[in-house]
Parts: sequence; structure tokens; C-alpha cells
Amino acid sequence: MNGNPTRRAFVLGAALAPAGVTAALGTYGEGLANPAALAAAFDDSYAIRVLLERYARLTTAGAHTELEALLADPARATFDRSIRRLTTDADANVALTSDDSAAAHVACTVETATAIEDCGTLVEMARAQGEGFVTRVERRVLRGTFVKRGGVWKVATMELVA
Amino acid sequence: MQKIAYPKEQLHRIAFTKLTERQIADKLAAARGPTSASPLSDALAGRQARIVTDNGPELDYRFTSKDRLTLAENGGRAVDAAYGALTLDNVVLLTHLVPGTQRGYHVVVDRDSRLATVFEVWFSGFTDNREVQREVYFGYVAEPGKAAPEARHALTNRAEGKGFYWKQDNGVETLEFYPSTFYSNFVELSRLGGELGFCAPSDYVKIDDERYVYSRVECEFSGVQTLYVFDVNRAEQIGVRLGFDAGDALEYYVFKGSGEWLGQIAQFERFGDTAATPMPAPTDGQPLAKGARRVYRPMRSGWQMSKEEVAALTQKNVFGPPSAMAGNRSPISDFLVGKELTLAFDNGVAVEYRFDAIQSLRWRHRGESRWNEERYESWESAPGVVMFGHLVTGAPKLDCYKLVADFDHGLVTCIHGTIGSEYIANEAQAETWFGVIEMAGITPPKYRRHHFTDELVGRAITWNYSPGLTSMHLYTTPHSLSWIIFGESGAGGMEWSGPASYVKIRDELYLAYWLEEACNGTLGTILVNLRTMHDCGIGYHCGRDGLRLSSMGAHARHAGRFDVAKYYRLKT
Repeated sequence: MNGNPTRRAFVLGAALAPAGVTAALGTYGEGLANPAALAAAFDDSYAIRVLLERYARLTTAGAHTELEALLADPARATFDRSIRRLTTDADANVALTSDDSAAAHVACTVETATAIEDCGTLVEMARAQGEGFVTRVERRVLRGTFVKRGGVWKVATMELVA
Repeated sequence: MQKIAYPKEQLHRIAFTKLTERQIADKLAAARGPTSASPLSDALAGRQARIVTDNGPELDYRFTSKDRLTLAENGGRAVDAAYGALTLDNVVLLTHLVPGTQRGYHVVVDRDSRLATVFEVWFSGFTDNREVQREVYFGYVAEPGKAAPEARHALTNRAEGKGFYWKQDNGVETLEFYPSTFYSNFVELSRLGGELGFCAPSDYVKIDDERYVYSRVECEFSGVQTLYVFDVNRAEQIGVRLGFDAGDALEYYVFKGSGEWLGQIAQFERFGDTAATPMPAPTDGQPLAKGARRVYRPMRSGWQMSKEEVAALTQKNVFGPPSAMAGNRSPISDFLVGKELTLAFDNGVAVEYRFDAIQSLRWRHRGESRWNEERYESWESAPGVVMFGHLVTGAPKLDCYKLVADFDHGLVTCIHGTIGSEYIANEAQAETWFGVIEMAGITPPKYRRHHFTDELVGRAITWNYSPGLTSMHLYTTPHSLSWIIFGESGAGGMEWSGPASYVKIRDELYLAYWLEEACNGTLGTILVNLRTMHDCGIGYHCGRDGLRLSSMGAHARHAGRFDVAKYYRLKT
């Protein structure tokens, strides 16, 4: 987990090289004058929005196996298990950076539950009744990068930022 | 002639026999049905009733007399059994065992609404066979030609915060407090002399706004179940007690009782929340096991140490980094820095102090030449009143002193903590010393002292130690204290208790300690300021990680008060 509480990286994997993204952007941008390319871009944007929403839902459900299936590189996945609830608060802003890469961000609300350190009877009892957490609800931005693999968009990186 | 029957051991010290299934089966087979000090009700004699429950058994009863019935479970073969029934207006409570089994039923029926609550109970369902297990079902009495009622009795938080004095028809007197939605606190006035309050997992079922079903099982003690229907307005009850007492004799009787309303303390759920606190579903998606309940079982966590282990301890943590229990602690005071004084106690102990720095002191007993250096912390709770504490290096039982000194009045009280009881080697014990401050500028009183008080008894106060860590103290008796953990909804949850003591320092300023005996061995000591609604305090604990002296501090809220002090006074 990222030590900075305002910048919560909860998927690390298959990150795009920034230089490559920049180079691809120009080529892809010229192609948007083509109606077919424009339609494809709409489809891609929609697919990424759906992917983000699904990501948020599965995070709330704690469905890590299903979440891994959304990732470009599941082997490098790490999840912040303190997140109890992640809900998007707006439509995602999607930027297609090439035929097969994109970035997106969306305002969201995140509820976290951090276990209180063991310090005696009260915490033991709280845990015994299924509690013993500090819960926080915060407004954040869910920010991710995406890659298309075999025609399917996958999450390359995802993080919560202030 | 002794008027109060004190037990040789209190509940938490009794080594209850680990009864085998065979022993329990034999004892149940010998039972002839529930006994009763009052005449049994004949309200059911000659009647039949089919009780249908949601997701539970269907019970076909034929009541052949006022104490015999036949029962067919789920359409099975009918069996004969002894039973007992009592009524409270339109509510009937009947109870029976199922012959040849270790099971039985307690059934509560509202004859007006036809709604029923069924407690299926059984033994030998847990490591400790004697502990009564229970599953609660809700349903109704089916009547031919009549539709099933849609309503049901239900678990509730509407009994939360209430407290009653009860006297049963057999002479048993108790004080019972319901500060939680799934635990309760009971003081056995007649059985155990009323010194201590104890806690047990409990169920609360709402029949209507005036009547409730309460059931507790004395888990970690005898395992006995006490269940009753009670009327809040009239303070009347009908109930049943089932289980094995400290002598392993079967207690199975029904009772009537009446009592007194003790008061209502606060609830902390959101307004409009009248639900119970449901048992959380298993995280693996499986359904709840039959009889599942939340039970605090402190003696099964393996914290106890041998004398040899305690003797070998070398690690000490004296006012180390604050824990979550000190999230709201007061600033450390420099009031004592530079002072030289003697604390002279009435038991003859006199301790000379030199406070060299804000966290460093020297002490020696009067007459000794060598000074001992200790780390300490102190807090000025009210002007001129300082609490501080330190270990007593070289003392034989890993001793500590926790002191409250009132410099405006020249008085001091010491809670002398030691490690090791006759039961558990790493369990803290405490004694209270009263005395005076001797120092330049103070002429202490010769007769006046701080003194034990019952002014806190019956009060409930919440303590918020840090985000997410809030409990409520219920000062149940002059010699015990209970603590309740809140659930996420604000409902009272897990609860436990221990011996305690209360000393009045000034008006609205009290020194309290509690011992987590047979729990985790901690001695907690707090100075409660009911004007600032803030405490300061010191925890003292011996575990495998060493001897620990730690600060505590929390913000308080009043949660109400039960009117109970009169029940503890000695009478002529």
C-alpha cells in the first residue's frame, strides 16, 4: 500500500511507458477524423467507463479474483484491503492515447476501514464482534491507465488520488 | 446470624466441572420436568396447538394435563414429556425437554395475536458441554380456517438501556441491566451476595411495546440459561432457568417474579433505528450455524502465564508510545517537576519523592538511603489534582504505584498494583491506600481522607479513546464495573466486567480502578472528571511481551444512571 494516505495505489501492474504513450497519441488523434475511427473511439471510451464502474463495484464487493480478471497483468496485482466501498460520483473522463492505450479518471467516494492496533481488551472485544476498525469516508479521484489486449480493454494501473 | 450469603468463590473463579455428554444425559433423564415455587398454569391443559415457525420446526402439541404433553416435531412421532407453563396476562410461557435427548423447547405464545417465539435449547453443543445452546425461531399458532398472521415477534433493541430489580417466587433476587443489544449484566443479590456484576450473551425479543422476552446464557461460567418474559410497565416476569449449578445439579424450574424499574440509560443508535444487531453472516458465504452467537471468551485466548514465565520476564514498557487507548489523553503535566515531597499513607508506608523532570522521578521508602529512578507520567485533571504512576523497581511482585495527589487539600490516594493472584500468575491485583502529602507549604489534615464512594454506582458513561474505539462503563455495583463495546450502528454490543473500586477525590472527581480478572489480567485506573468529561489513566498489564505501564485518556459522555445504590447498602 502506498504510504501516502492521499494517494492510494491499489493496482500496480503493466504500467505503460510515458514516452510510448505520448508518441502514440499523435497518430491516434489524426485518425479520429475518420468516422469509423471516431465510432471506434466512442466504443473504446464507453468500454473504459464500463470497466471503471465494474472495477469500483468489484472493489466494494472485495471480489479480488474477479478484479484480477480485469487487469492487464494480474500477477502484479496488489489490492488495498482496507477499502470497504468505492462508488463513482460522476461520468469518467476518458482520454484515448493510442489505438490500444488510454487514461481515465473519475470523482469517487471511498470508504476505508483500518484495523485498530491491538492494545488490550477493548480491541479484542471489538474484533470478537466483527469490528475494531477506524472507518473513514473520503472524496477522491479514481485514476487509471488502460491497455487493449486482444481487443479487450484491461486495467494497466489504478490509483486513488486526492 | 449472617444475613448475606457470600459464596466461597465468585462466578469467575469457580472451576466448573467439565461435564461429559453421558453425565448430562443421565442428569436430564432423571429430571421430572420443571419445578415451580408457584402453581403451574393450567391454561394449556386439554388443548392442542400447532406452532409453525419460519425456517424452523413445526411443533404439534397436545397438552394432556397441566404438566404433561405430547409433542410431534415436524410431523414425526409424538413423544410424551413433562412440561411447565406460566402466564403473564395473554402471554404463555411453556418449557419442556424432549425425552431421550439433550434438547428442549421454551415457547412463548401471545394468545391474542397467536404469535410465538420458540427457543430450541440443547446441551453438548459446544466444547463446554454444560453450556446451554439456543436457536430462536419466530412463528405463530396455526388455527384451522384462519390465515397465518403476517406479523412476527422479532429481535429488538427496544429493551436496550433498561434495568430491573427482580425477585423471583423462589426468593432469588437480582439486578439485571440490558445496556447492549446482545449482552446483559446481572448482579446476583441473593445467590452471590451482590458484590459483583457479571455479563452474559443475551437475546431480546419484542412481543409488543410493553412485553419482551429476555434470555441469557452464562457462557464461560456455569452455562446456565435464564429466560423470561417481562412486562416493562408493571415490572413482572415469568421465566425458566435451565442448566447445571456449581455443584453440577440440574437447575430446571419455572418462576414468577416481580420487581422494580431501575431506570433507562441512553441508546446511541441513529434516531429511528429500532432494529436488533443481527449476527453477521460468515465471510465465506455459508449460512450461520445453528445456535451461532457472539460470545466473549477471554479465558480461551491463552494469555495466562505460569509463575516461572512471569519470574523470567525482563521486558518492561513504561509509558512507551501511546496506544489507541491514549488517543484522547490529556497533555502530560509538568506540575510535579522540581517538587520534593513525601506521601505518607495510613498503612504506615511513606514514600519520598524527588521529581527531577517531566518524566523522571526518584523515590525511596522512608528510612531507606538509596534512591530509585523511575520513568513516570502525570496529568493535572483539575487544578491542584495530579495523577501519576510508576513502577516500583525491586518490589517483589512487579509492583506499581498509581497515585492521585490533591495539593490543594494535602490528600493522596494510591492504587498499589501487583502482579499475580492466587488464581493466575500474571493477573494484576490492587489495594487502595489513603494518606497525605507532606511537603513544604502543606499542612495535611490529620483525620480527613479521600474515601470510597458509591456516587458513581449505577452511572453509565461513554469513553471515546480514539477514532473507532469507544466503550461505555456501567458502574454496576460498589465493587464492580462493566464495559460495553459499541457496534458500528451505535448499538451496545459485547460486554464484560470485573471487580472495581471507586474513591471520591472531590465533587465530580473520582478515582476508579477495575481488574480484568479472568479476562486479560489488566489493572485499569482512571481519574474521572465529570466537569471536563475527560479522564486520565494508567493501564498496568503483565503479558508475554513484558510488564507494561501505559497511559490512557478518553472523552466522556453521560449515558444515564440506574437507581441502584440502595440495593447494596447493609440493612439492619
